[in-house]
Formats: sequence, structure tokens, C-alpha cells
Amino acid sequence: MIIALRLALRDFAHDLRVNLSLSLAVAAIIAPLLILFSLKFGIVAAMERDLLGNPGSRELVLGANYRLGEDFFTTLRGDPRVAFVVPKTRSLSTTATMRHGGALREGVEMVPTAPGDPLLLAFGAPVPRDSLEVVLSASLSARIAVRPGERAQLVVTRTKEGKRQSAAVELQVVGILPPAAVGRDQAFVPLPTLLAIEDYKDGFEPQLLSDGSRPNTARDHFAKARIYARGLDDVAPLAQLLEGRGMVVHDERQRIGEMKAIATVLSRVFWVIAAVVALGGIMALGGLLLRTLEARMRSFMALGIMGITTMGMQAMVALEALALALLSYLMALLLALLAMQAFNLLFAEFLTEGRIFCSLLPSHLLSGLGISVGTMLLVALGCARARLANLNLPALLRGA
Amino acid sequence: MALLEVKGLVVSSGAGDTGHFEAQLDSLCLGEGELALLVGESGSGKSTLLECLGLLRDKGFASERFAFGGQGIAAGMGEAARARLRAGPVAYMPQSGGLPPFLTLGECLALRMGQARRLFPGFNEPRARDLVALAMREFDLHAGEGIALRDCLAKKPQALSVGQRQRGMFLCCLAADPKLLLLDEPTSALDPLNARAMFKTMAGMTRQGMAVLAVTHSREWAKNARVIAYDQEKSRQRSREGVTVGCFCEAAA
Repeated sequence: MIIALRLALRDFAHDLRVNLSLSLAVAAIIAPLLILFSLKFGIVAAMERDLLGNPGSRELVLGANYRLGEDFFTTLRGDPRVAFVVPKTRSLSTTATMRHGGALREGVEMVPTAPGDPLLLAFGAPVPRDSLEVVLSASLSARIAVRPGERAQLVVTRTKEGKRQSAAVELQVVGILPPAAVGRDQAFVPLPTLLAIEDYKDGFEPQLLSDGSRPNTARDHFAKARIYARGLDDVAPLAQLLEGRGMVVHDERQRIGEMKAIATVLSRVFWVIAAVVALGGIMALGGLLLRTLEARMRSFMALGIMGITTMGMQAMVALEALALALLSYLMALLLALLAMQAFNLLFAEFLTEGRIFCSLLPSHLLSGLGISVGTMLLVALGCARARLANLNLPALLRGA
Repeated sequence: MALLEVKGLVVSSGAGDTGHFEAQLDSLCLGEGELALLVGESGSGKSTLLECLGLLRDKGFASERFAFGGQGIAAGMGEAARARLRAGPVAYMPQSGGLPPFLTLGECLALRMGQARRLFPGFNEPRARDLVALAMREFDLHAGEGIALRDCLAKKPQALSVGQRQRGMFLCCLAADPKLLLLDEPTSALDPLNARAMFKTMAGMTRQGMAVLAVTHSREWAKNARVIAYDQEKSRQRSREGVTVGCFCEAAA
């Protein structure tokens, strides 16, 4: 094998111009496939990234009020397709007033949260650990001029027995959600805080906002829930499950379906083109390799006379094909990267900031290399076997 | 013990314009240090016989006895076994085209030695180097104003003259320290001075114990050598419908 390697290297270097031409020809087959694949992958990946990056695409919003008991939540929490579920008390949001310094905002939507909340996690906000912590939307924090680490006052008002009453509690602001996550003035609080607000408004005396003398002990159901599926593929089956229970569900099934349809169409287009190009390329490559083998028969004759076996010669051809494949792939990669860069620049104005049109992962590059080298080796070995397996040295000598 | 024993060897060539051709060698027994010449008119089958004796053929021949160093050689003995013998004890030098164009003459010599070292357990590398040096010295003595062969070691075959290539191929054969040297018209591209040097070198190799069989049209350079000659009468007698025979027998001393 070492002799075959040495001979292959010397022969490759001797016919460098021919080998460079061959490499360019092979690169011209591989490069368009890499570019096409990068386009397919880039477009689909960007769509997937958009959907995955926004937890809202995994949210299932209930379209009406229901009587959701503990069994409903237990079932959902036990479902592997569910990433997060937390009860909501009423169809319209619970509202309260938030105050900091001299600024206040009335009618702030109070949203229940809990550990594992995908919205908070996706935007890097910490989840409130207890009833005295809160995460605010950016618009709300700006309005009342409060920053993380500061305290804001939660004020709840009610009318009880004809008298207007209010209760307030200091909450620690532990995080701010950016506008990309929430556009409205919202405060994310643990469920017990939300329940305390509701109960206080309903005339109870919860511990958090009152003296705890009359807590609400009769709640056995909730009107709604915040539900997030684990992955994009889990949205549709979960929605169907809820719809099967007679619920109205709003979700991103249509967008997810569109993305998957585009991915499927692009994949098919890619594979059909790849198959046609690969077939043509393999046949052309086979012809070229056979022709170069024909031109090198004098070399093989000389090697045969020196006692190199046809197996050794085939190993030499295979090693040269390996070098050719590596060189071709390197050239193709260079061409493809240049073309991808050009595409990304050309289409930059149509893309949102930070998004790219063509992209390839290291695993794609490795797979491409493996396929290119494997195909080249198979074609080269096929040609070498056809031409060298039954090498007729006397006949070659006659032609020398 | 004879190095090369041949009896009743028949080598068939494929169908050509004039039908099948058979080269026949009735008998040959070549021992260590012997020089024999295979002579005959062009197209009589000298090269065909030499290719078969040089183990380049794996089929298309039959014999009553064909052995090298006591080891029987038969059609279908396998490429690996023949290649092993070609790499070491049996060296064959074609008329032309025996040097790979991608290697320099020096690399060819190294490859040849490497092959012999790898495949031939009895290979004596110092002796092989001495043989190459001896032959090179002999050739360079006759180079006159021409380029010495030792200055060609770094050149690829295409940078050498036809005569230099022929002498280079001869050196390559010696680099394997063969026991049997088979040469196909080794002086065909050489001027008389160099042809004389080639025969002198061949004779020198026989003194080293090598058996040499050379196809040649130049018998005058080796008057004492044994001669295996084309026998026109026998060839005519043995030819038959669709088969032309070229028959070779040892000429009387």
C-alpha cells in the first residue's frame, strides 16, 4: 500500500495539469449541488428558526371560556407533547395597576407564569420564584420607569358593600421582556399572585393583598390556560386533542404547515436535480477516468514488468482518485462559498437583519465530502477494474 | 541445477490478419552464468517466446516442461505468483517502454530494488547495487562525448534519448539482482559502440552467475554464446491450416 501511495503521488504530480483539469470538471459538478443544497437548507432553516425562535408559534390559545378542572391540567402535564401549561382565571385578562415612583399604569394585564415558561425562557427573562416577584413587558417598564432589581407596587381596587377599596403590595421586578416577546403592557406573575388579585376583586380576603381572613377555598376550575407544545410537530396533534374535547383553538398550524410544504417541495426539487446532475456527472467522470487510464497504460505496463500486481495498480488508481476527489471538493467548496456569499449579499435587501439566504452546516460539508469521495472512489475503482483487472502485458508491449 | 528448463513450449497468439500464430520452443536448458541468444527473422516469434519466458503471460501457452529454478510454470498459475518472480529472480527487459514516465531513472531503480526487497526473500541489495554500478561504469566508459548515464538518474524517461532509455531499462533489470535476465533486442536503439558495451556488460553479468537470454539480430557481439535459432524448415512443416508456426531450436555449437 505504501508503494501504491508513493507511486500514486508521483503519478498525480506528473500529470498535475490533467489532474487539475479533471478536478475542475468534477468541482463544476459538485459546486452547483452544494449551492443548491445551501439555498434549500438556508431558506428552510431560516423559516424553521423564525418559528422555533418565537415560542408563540408553539402556543395554543383557547378561543373561549371553559370549565377546566384539575384532571385537564394533569392530563396535559403528563403529555410529552406539552412543554408548558398554566391555568388562567378568566377569558378577559385580569387587570391591575402598577406603580413606581410617581408613575403608574392602570389596566395592566396580569399573566400567569410558572417555571419552564417558554416565553420567558426564550427571551432570557428569569421566572418569578414567589408571589412577590414579577417580570414586566418592556413597554410597561418604560411607562412606569422601573428597572430590574427595583420594586414596583401592585395596586388592586374593588368595590365591596358599596365602598371603594384598594390593596397594594410591593413586587420585586426580576426581569423585563423585550418588545419582540410582548407588545402590550403586561406583568407576568406566579399563579398564586394572579389568584389573589382575582379573589380580592371578588370580595375575598387573600393573604397577599389582605389579612387572609377569608381566602377563596371553593375554586375547582379555571376558564382558560396558557399552553405551549414541545415542538413544532406537536402543535397539530395537541390542537386536535383539544378540538376533540370541543374546544376552539387558535394556533400557528397553518404557518407550520406552509413551512413544511416549502421544505418538502425544495427537498424534492433538490433531489431531482441532484440525481440528474449526479448521474450525468458520474457517467462523464467515468468516461474521463477511462480515457486517462487508457493514456496511462504504458505506465501500467512498465509497472507490471517490475512486478507490481494489478491489485497494486488499482490501489494506485484509487489513491489518485482520492486525491482528485479531495482537490475537487476543495475547489467546489471554494466556488460554492463564494457563490453563497454572493447570494447572501445580492438578496440582503430582501432579508431581515441577521438572516442569511444560503447556509451550510459543518455536518453538511462532511457529508458532501463523504459522498464526493465515496462516489469518486467507486467510479475510479470501477474503471480501474474494467481496464486493469485482466491486464494483457504482451498486448501492451506490442502497442508500446 | 538448471535455472530455466523448457521442453515443448507452445505459445499461441490471438487471431490476426493472417490467422493464428504459434511460437514454439522445442528445448532449452539454461544454467547459471550462461548466455544464450534467441535469433531469427522479424515476426518469427522471438518476442512472443521471450514474453512467455518472462512470465508476462498467464494463458495461451502449454509445455511438456517449463520450470524456473525447479518450480513449474503453467498457464493460470496466478498473477501474484508471476509478479513475485518478475519482481526478483526473473527480469524481463522489453525493447521499449519499460520505464514509467512519472518516475526518474533513479526512482525506477529504487522502485525495482524496493519490489525485489519486498517480494523476493533472497534479494541481495548490496550485490544489486554493485551490479548496477558495474553496468553503469561500463556504459559510461563508452559514452565518449555523450551524456554519462549517471547524469541521467534524475531525469524522467521522456528527457532521455532512446538509447539512454534502453540502457536505463537494463540497469533497472539489474537492480533486482535477477538470476535470469531476459532481454528483448537490448541493442536495437544503440550505436555500435554502445551495443558492444551492452554485450560486454551482459557477458559481465554471466560472470556474476546470471543466466542471460537475449533476443538479438547482432550475433557478432557474442560469438561464444549459445544460439536458439528460428528453424524455417520445421516451422513450415508444423504450420497448418489457419496456424502459422515459428519454431526455435538450439543450433549446434
